[in-house]
Order: sequence, then C-alpha cells, then structure tokens
Amino acid sequence: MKQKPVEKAQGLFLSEPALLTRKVSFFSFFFFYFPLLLLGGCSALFCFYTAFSLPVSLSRLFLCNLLFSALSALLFLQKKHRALYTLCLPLLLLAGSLIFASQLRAGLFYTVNRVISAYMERSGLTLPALPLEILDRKEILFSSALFTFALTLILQWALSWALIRKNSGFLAFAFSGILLLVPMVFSIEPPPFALAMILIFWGSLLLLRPVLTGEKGLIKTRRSFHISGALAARAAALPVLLLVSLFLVFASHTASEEHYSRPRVMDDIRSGVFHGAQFPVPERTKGIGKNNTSVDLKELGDRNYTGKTMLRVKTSKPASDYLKGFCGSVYTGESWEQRSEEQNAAAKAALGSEKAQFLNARLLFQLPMAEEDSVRYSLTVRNVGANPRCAYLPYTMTESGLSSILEPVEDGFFQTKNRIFGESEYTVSALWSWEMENPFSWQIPFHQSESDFLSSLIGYSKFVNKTDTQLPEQLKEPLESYLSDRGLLLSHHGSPRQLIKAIVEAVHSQCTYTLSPGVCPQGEDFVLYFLLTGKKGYCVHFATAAALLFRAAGIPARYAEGYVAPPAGEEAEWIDLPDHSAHAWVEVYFQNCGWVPVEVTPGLDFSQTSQPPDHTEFSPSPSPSSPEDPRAEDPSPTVSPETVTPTPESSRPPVGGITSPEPSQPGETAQIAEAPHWPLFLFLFLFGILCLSGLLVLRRRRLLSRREKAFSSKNRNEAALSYYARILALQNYLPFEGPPPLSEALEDLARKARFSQHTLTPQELSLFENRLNAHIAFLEKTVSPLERWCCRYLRVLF
Amino acid sequence: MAKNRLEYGVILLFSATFYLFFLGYLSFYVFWAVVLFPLFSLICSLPCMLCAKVSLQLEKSAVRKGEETTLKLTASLPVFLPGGRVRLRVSVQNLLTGEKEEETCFLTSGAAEALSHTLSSRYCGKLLCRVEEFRVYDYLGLFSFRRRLRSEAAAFCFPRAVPASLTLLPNPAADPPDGHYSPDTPGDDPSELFGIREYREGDRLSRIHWKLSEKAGTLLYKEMSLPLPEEVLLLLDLSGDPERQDCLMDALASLLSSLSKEGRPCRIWYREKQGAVREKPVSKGSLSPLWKDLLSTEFFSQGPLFSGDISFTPGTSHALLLSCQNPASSLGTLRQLLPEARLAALTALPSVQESQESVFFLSRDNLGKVLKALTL
Repeated sequence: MKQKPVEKAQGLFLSEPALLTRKVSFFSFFFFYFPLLLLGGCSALFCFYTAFSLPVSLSRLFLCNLLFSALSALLFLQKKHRALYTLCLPLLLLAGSLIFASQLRAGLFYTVNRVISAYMERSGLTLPALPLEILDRKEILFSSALFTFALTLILQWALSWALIRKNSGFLAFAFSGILLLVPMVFSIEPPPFALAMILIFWGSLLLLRPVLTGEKGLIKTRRSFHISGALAARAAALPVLLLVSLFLVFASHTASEEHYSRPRVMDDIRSGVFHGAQFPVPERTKGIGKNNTSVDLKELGDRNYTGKTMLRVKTSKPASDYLKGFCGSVYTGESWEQRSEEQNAAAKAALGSEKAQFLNARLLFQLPMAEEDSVRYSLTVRNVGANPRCAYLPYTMTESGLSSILEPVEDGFFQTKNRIFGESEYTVSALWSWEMENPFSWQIPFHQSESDFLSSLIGYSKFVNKTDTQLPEQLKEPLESYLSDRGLLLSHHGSPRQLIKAIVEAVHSQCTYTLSPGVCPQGEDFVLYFLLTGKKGYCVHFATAAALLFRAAGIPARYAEGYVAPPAGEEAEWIDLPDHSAHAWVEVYFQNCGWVPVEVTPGLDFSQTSQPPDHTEFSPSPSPSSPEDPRAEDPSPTVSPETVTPTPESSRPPVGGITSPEPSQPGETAQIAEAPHWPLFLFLFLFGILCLSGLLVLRRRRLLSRREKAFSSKNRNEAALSYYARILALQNYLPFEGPPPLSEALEDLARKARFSQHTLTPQELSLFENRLNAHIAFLEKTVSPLERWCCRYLRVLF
Repeated sequence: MAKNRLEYGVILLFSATFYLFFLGYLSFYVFWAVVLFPLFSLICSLPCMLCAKVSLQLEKSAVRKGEETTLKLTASLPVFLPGGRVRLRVSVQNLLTGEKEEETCFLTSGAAEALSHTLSSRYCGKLLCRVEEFRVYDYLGLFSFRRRLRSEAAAFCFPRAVPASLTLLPNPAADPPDGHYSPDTPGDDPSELFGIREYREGDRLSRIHWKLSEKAGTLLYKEMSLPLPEEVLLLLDLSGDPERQDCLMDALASLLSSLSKEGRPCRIWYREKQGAVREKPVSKGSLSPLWKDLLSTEFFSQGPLFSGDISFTPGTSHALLLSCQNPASSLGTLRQLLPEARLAALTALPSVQESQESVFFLSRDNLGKVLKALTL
C-alpha cells in the first residue's frame, strides 16, 4: 500500500506508518477464541441454570456450548461474506423458532416462571407468573431443552460478535454478566464452581485486554498511532486461564470464608444508606447534649439558640423525663471525660454480668408494682438534629432488645452501634409510676435468688463510692473550704439528701443564671472560676460545680447531659425538642436506687411544669419574683427535702403538656429539621455529574475517532467530502468570522470529489486538510474558554 | 494509562458497592480479588515487560536526496505468553540540518505486526532514526515503566555534485611551506634536494655529486624534489537554514569532486557546534569517510566563525570560504589571519545577487553556472 507522505515545509519526510502483518493461520485464531467462548458461555449458563435449579443437565449445556462456540468462532472468523456468516446463526434460530414455536414459548415461559417463583420464595413478594398450559414432565423437559438450545445459540452469537467482530472485552463481560445478574438481583447465589468459572472468564478478559480490545488495524489519533493487538491472538496466550485460576485459589486462601467476618463499618454504611445517612457533621456533634465522648468546658462561652428541632419524642410518661446522652466521670479542670481503662475494667469486674445502665430498672423490678403493665411506658426518640451517635435514654430503661443498635459505654450511658451514621430512631421501654417517683421510697426486697445481683450491687457501690468521689488535687482544698465556710457538711445536715439540697441552694445564692457568662480565662480552673470569680453561667456551669461539690462532700456524683422530655399529652403524639431543650444536670449514686438525676440549675422545675426547659425565657436575675417568669411562685430549688429527683412526691396536678407539632413557646416557630438526606443527594448529584462527564468524554472520543477514520479513508474522494462537511459545519458556527469562505477552487474540488469519477490527488486532499486545520486553529484562538469547552464536548466540533 | 486507571477505578467502585450491599462472603471475595488483581497482573506481565524487544531497521544506509527508503519498526516477544501494550516514540533527525520528526505508536508486543514508514530527505545529512522512548505496560495498562533501549538506524543522504572547475591564479606572495615537496616521490625541482643514491645508467651527469662520489669511491646521484601543487583551503560556515546548508554542501561536493579529479590537494576547515575546530586533509582515496563525518556534524552557529584563537597551516596560498551568511565580515577577518592567501567566498543567500569581487552568490538555480567559472 502506497503510504501517504506527510508533507510539511521542511526537508525531512516521514510518512504515516503502514501496518505490515505476518500471515497468521486461521487455526491459530480459532484455537484462541474457541476456548474463551466455550468458557464464557458455559460459565454464564451454568450460573443461570444452577441458581434456579432448572431441569437441564449440565453435560447437555456443555455440549450445546461446545457446538455453538465452535460454530460461532468458525463463522465470525471468516473474512469474506462476513455479513452472511454473521447472520447464519440468527437465521438458524429464526428457522428453529418457526418450527418449534409452541415448544420454545413453553420452554421460555417455564423458565421465566421458575425464575419468578425463586424470586417470590426469596423475597416474600407476590409476582405475576406467565400463563403456561399444563404440561407433563416429558414435555417440560423437551421444551426446556429447546429453550436452552436457543439461549445457548443467542449467547454464543453475542459473545462471538463481541470478542471477534467488535474486539470488545466489555461487551463480552456484559453479555455473560446478564445471566449472572438475573439470580444475583435477589441474592440467589449460584454454586461455587459456576461462580469460579465466570470469574476465570472475566479475569481472562482483563488479562487479555491488549489482545482483545481496541479497533482492528491502524488507528490514528491526534498525537499517536494505535495498532490493535488482535494479531497477537493465538492459542499460546491461553495459559492466562490457568494463571487466573491460580490467582482465584490464592485469593481464596488469603481471605478464606472460615475466618471471614463482615466488618462493622460496612454494616454501618449500609444501614446509613438504607435508613438515611446522618453524617456527624460538627454542628451536630458540638454543643450541650451533643457530646458523646467528652465535654470541653474551656470552649464554652455564650449560648445562642436557633429553636431548631433536635429530637422528636413520643412518650406515654405523664411526667418529665431526663434523657441522658452522655455522662462524664473524670473532671480534668477543662473538660469532663470518660473513665480510664483501669477504672472501666474495675467497674466491669464489680458489676459482673450486670449493666449499670439498667440498674434502676433492675432495682424497680424488685418492687411488687413493677409487674403491673401500667408502670411500663414506651419512649420513641427520633434524632433529627442532634448527634446521631448519641442515644438519649431514660434512667429507668429496661433491657428491651435494643442490643442490635445500641451499645453501653462504660457504666454511664449508651451510644449507637453504627459508628458512622448513628441511628435515626429507636424505641425503648421504661418503668415509671407516681409511686416510683421518689427513689428513696423504694423498699427493695431482695430475694435469695437475687444474691448475685445483690453482690454485684454492693461491689459496684463500693467502686462508685471510691471512684466517683475523687477530685483533682488542686481542687480538694478550695472546694472543701468552700463547703466548710458555708456549713455544708454532712454532720450539719440530717442526711445526704438534705446536704445535696443545701449545696444546691448555696450555689444558687452565690451564682446567677445567664446565657452569656463569657469564656473561662486561660489558666483558670473552670469550677473555681465559676464559684469564686465569675459567679455566672448556665446549666453546664451549675452542673459541673454541683457535681464537684457533691464529691467534695463525699457523695458520689457525675456530670450528665442530654435532653429533658416534657410529660406526655393525653394522646401520645410527637413532641419537638428544640436546641434550647438541651440540658446538663448532676446524677448522684445511692445504693438503693442507683444513679438518679438531680436538677441543679436555678429556676428550672420539671415537676411543676409540663413544658421542656426554656433557657431562652429565663430571667438572669436571681430574684424569683420576676413578673415574667410564671414559675417564680416557687422560688425553692427543685430538689425537695424528700426527693432527689426533679419531680417531687405524690399528688401531681393533671398533666397537660405540649403536644407536637405546636411550637413550645408562643410566637416561636418550631423548625422541623428532617433527617438530612442532603449528603446522599449530594453524593448522587456528584456521581451523576461524574457519569455525565464520562459519557461526554466517551462520546467525543467516539465521534473524533469516526471522523479520523473518515478523513483517512482509502477513497480520497470520500475523505475530501468528509473534510468538506466538517469545514462547512465549522463555518456555520462562526459564519461572519474566521477565515474567508471556501474558495472557488475548493468548491470545485468538492464537486469533483462528489460527482467525478476521477480521484483527487493527495495534494488536492491536503488542501482540504489545511483549510480545516486553519478553521480549527481560528476557533481555538478566538472563542472564550466556556465556548471552547462547548465546542469540544457538546458539539464536538474539534 | 489514565483511561485504564479510570476504568479500573470504576470496576473497584462497583465491586465495593457490591460488597457494601451484598451480605455474603462472595461479595467480599470479589472485592478482595479486584483489589489484588492489579498486582497479579503486574507480576504476570513482568516477564513480557522485561523481555519485549524493539527493532528498528532502515532498508538502505545511503540514499540520494529525495530518494525514499523504508523504516521498519517491530516489537517482538521471545516468550510464549501474550504481550502487553508498549509505547514507542520514534524520532528521525537530520544531524546536519537539525530537522527532527517524531512519532508515537502503541503496539502489542508479540503481535505479528510491524510498522513501516517511508523516509526521504530533501537535504543532505545523516538521517538518524532512534527509539527515544520505549515504555512497557502491564496487561491491565495500570502500571508502566521505561525500558532503556539502544535501537537506532542511520542512513546518509549525500549531496549532489555538479560539474565544477576551480581556477587557481598564481600567488607569488605565499611562500611554499616547508614540506611543500612530495616526501616520497622525487622530482625535478633543483631548489630542493630529495636524496642521494647510486648512479644508474641514464641519469644526468650534471647531477652526479662528485665530492661525495670521490669520498665514497662510487658514483652518487643527486635526486631533486618534486614540488606539490598549491593546496586549497576550504572553510565551511554552515550556520544557516537547511536550504542554504544544503546548497553549500552541494557546492562543496562539486568542488571536492573536481579537485580530486585534478589531483589537487585540499584541506577542509570547519568549526563544530561546541566550538572545536577541525582541519582535515582530503585524502586521495574515497571521500566517503570524510562525507560521513561532515554530514554527521552539527556546525558552529553561535557568533562569528573566526572568533577566539584561530590559526591555520602556514603557507596557505588559496582559501575559499563557503558561508551561509554574508561573508563580508568573515572575509575581513580571514584576510588578517591569512594575509598572503588568495581569498574568495561562496555564499548562499535567499536572493541571488550579482557576484562581487571575490564573493560568489550561490543558489539552486545558478549552482552549476557559478561553479564552472570559479576563479581564486
């Protein structure tokens, strides 16, 4: 073939390369493609037929594949009369369809019905089946065999067309993958040998990419020449099948099924995707009630609330409920932290098989009234804006089968097991009645059978009394002198409960409530600064100071934070808890009642009101007689002489309470924050953009390669006409700018190319090429970058 | 390779998605296999990547200007496994004119294919074909590395000589240098004694060395030297565009051919790109080695040709400067360096001008005409 010299304005001429091919024997190609087709067809059909247990023997399948793969390879490898050979098998199928129409239809319907019934069995759905007349076993077998025959023929034809004619490994993968996808959609796994075969086939397609992919012959791109490796297809290349098999065996050894356990993180991600991903973004993990690892006191400053809903709760408890999300046992001077490893281990050892989080419920279960259904209530929490990893749960929660989604943290609180996305909703069961309201009135009769529980309780009590009364060294003296200066000693008060009340009153009298206390200065201890210098703060300040004062007085105490749910209304409806419902309190430990919450923030009384704590409306003045504060009638703190819970004893006014979805304060609009799905939408959007970009790029490459092919056509007249069409397209884009319209000479040449029987010379053809290049160069220089992008990728002008 | 990596990324993404949503061991196995597969592919392809060979062959080693030769490129594999893709960047360079053409090809090693190019040059020079880059890829096309490869082929494109005639006018100002006589052949120049030998019958009696003969007791004959004809110094200044270089090379070829026929000795003086000076006598035998040297040379083009410490063989009587530039300043410098020599210049400028005294303007059209009437 005469090569076209690349004429340039210099002395060196290097022509475009021409492909010289050595003659490769037909059988070399045949024995390369035939085993591949056999493997691909067998593996795909084995996967399909064995997954649905269809009544076709594997040996028959293999023989069908053997026949049709050989036939397809022979036909597609013919160089002459290709169209005829390509249509041979489809025509054979058509002929067979006409002769055995009813049997083929029966076989198809029977197979489809088997697939549908497998789907129904797997999924529990009811799916419509195809109408099939009643057939006996012989007829079923014959119809199935015919259908198998036809399916094998179609598959082999498709695989041969993909591998031999189109040189596309991807198409071969797709055709074989369809038959695997049909069962896998409903998680119906074919047997291992079929899966192994298809994996070997796909692995071989990948390894043989240099041979199997790429358009045949010599392709010229803008900067280089590509020659496909189709002529490297020879039988000696097939040991890759063995290599892939060995690789699969090696892979199975390095990650064997016996030792495999699915990582937790994958389940978490999967759960998050299915149930709505709640990403733990900073705005959901910082702030009161949102921490679940530690509370940084140094970062606390002024508080601002937006009224955005954090939680939605549905409860049947007719009283307020402390929903604890976190508790801190170790005070560092700048933060509340969780226990150390040693303390944790000691607590576990003391508790044995018991969980401290269920201690209150375990104790309550000893009471006779605990057997009544009326003392049980359910609480559903839907997390819409708080930290998704936090689990906000009541103190008297029972062990109600939430172990699949919640896990205890130390001996303090719960968190979700899904470490990435948390849980958006959970329902718990807890115990409550008016009689149970005062833990100190619980008379727990321990039975002999409960001796294990009793010993755990005693051991744990000893641990708590030792550990949760500890203070940092630098705080011991100042706090003890604070207490002694004010007569806040156990010896001066009748009981620990009275001491607790006195301490709280003392703190209230010294410090004022405000949402703008400022930041604790660097180098200062948070509590000392609050108690002695600043003397103003909000719930976190009061809770921290009170917890440490309790400890200094010898009462085991911890810092706790979460949300306070208001009492349920007459109908159990959803209640919105906005961000200002987040609260911090203290929990103290007594052996007969476990950990109980103590309200230490001035002005908050969950016993008298049915509304959630509204920090925004609280007057900063310490005077209880502020006319704006409807609760000012009862200036005493919420810790009554007889109780340590925020709800005092017995007779309670009938509860009213707020029911959702009305806003909790007049004039305030509740902002419902639904579980944010925006991360998922964002991901889908970005993924869509990526796919679209990929499609645009592929489309452009495809169009450009087709154009290049047309330009380098052996028929110079055709090539000239392709150039001409492209030049006109470019001229139409910029009709009034750019190089002048085509000269008459070029027009004449175009007419000659179109109508004359003479072929243009290479020099004449190069005129078109030069003109096209001039147009493209002009466009590239002239148009704006955005327009250039549109020309390249949308219109594919160049 | 970016495309292959993107495709692999997509496969990995799909297998990860499969692993995420499908709970069984199969999904993990597939994901694990996809993660390991590139490494496996690299290991399997290594023998082919390391053993792949490229060969470059030129059909002819010497061509005329405009004559075509075939350049063949093959990527072969001595092992039976299928080869991966290879990328070749081939360059063809005319070392004299500096022109270069490059081409990049992607092949599959081991395929029964070769690439064939047609190569030709309008200008003379050494055409050096080289594989500048040989990059081998693994089967998946994810990894690659460069292989060092020395594969080159060269062909010489010789200049075209036209009939020329150089007339050297006598130059009495130049003394014949020492050794201007033939060192191995006696002659008849009485001014220089070649040697003494025994008298042979037929020798001239006037040349018998009577004094020595008396002493030696036998007749001794005085042989005289053979004076060599005047040597021409040809100075080359080929710092110009390929067209002019080629024109002057044609002129040089024509002159050397003519001088060689006449048996006139000459020397060639030129300066290489780095500044090194070369002065080579033109031997009587084949000019081919000289031409191979000249055609492979990159000539000096940074500044005046005669800058620095330049000296010539003393006693040069005739010197001809072949220059691509305007020779006026070069001739001036040359007159100072060779004050006694007869100087002239042949220059190839884009536009033909009228020949001036001792400066002859060359072009393609008047090459033969000028060289036939050249006088120095």
